[in-house]
Amino acid sequence: MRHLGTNDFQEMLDGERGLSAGESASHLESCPRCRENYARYRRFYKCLGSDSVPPLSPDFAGRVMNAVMQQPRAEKELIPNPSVLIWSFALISCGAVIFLVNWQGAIKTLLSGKVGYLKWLDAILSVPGQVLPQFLNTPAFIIGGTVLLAVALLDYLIRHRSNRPSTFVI
Amino acid sequence: MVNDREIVQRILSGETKAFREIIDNYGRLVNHMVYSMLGDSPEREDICQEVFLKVYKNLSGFRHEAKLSSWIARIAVNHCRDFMVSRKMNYDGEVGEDILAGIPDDGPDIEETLDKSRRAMLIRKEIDSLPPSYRTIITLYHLDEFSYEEISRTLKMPLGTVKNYIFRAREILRQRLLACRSQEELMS
Repeated sequence: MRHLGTNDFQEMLDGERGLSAGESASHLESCPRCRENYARYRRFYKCLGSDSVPPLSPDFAGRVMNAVMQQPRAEKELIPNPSVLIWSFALISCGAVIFLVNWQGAIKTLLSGKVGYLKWLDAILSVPGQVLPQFLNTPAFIIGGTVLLAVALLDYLIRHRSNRPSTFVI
Repeated sequence: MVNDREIVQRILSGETKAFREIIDNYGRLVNHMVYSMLGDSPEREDICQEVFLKVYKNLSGFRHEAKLSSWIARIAVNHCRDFMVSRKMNYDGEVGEDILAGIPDDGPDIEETLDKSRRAMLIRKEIDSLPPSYRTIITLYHLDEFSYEEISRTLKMPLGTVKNYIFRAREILRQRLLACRSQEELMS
């Protein structure tokens, strides 16, 4: 194997050495010259971590706090997450459009009377063969959109009460 | 140590004084960033203060998707860049390939030949003479312990470029430090 160079040393010290890590390590064990160069490079590398940047003055934090106190209070954005609202709106709109086009007459049968009840019962009993195709149409959009909207509102209420940042992002 | 999320929540709940903890925890980072980009400017502390004011004003928009340190560093970088543009200063600079030519891998030992304080001073001087982009990356990596990925996200720079800049900057520094040592030997 060739002798190791500074690029190899840098990768090893940065912990970036990939597949050839074992190869380099075994070379270091068997090659005194590379071992010495590596030790020397490691000392230089450690020197780079010595902090010689002039520090901030001791009253810096106090001055910043004075300036901060004069600013309007920082407050959490308490509006519902916009991306969730957009997705909810989009899903509900899709559902509503399909519903208006295809289900105008059928909805009465489905939601009221004995016929509608039996249709639902049939559908549920034949899970998943018939239920899924039905739910993949209009109700899926409306239910999905409503659930998202409910989650967004719940998220908003929780944040409003606890003043915690939202973690609900789509 | 109280975690960042908790501190941010306290500030946003109205406990403005908790912002002091952010200054204490990240003052060093902001100082490093501003110093690495602008050098030892007389306006350094004012700019650090402006960075913290921006952090405070934008805190409600911090989504905890990244580490608070990366977010603050990003604000510091943007603020310094705006400052440099307003002063017509150049941020991006390249170093010529010739600088790196002919550096032996087995040169003399820098640590053995220079005492600690002299070494720190020389390293600082040599880092200061690098182009600002190299200075910032080296400082973030070695002093603030950012990973390649964090630097890449903070500076909006491809990962490969970050790695390349770090490698090149180290080699330039090594060569310059060795040159300083040789000069001292000649003078003595």
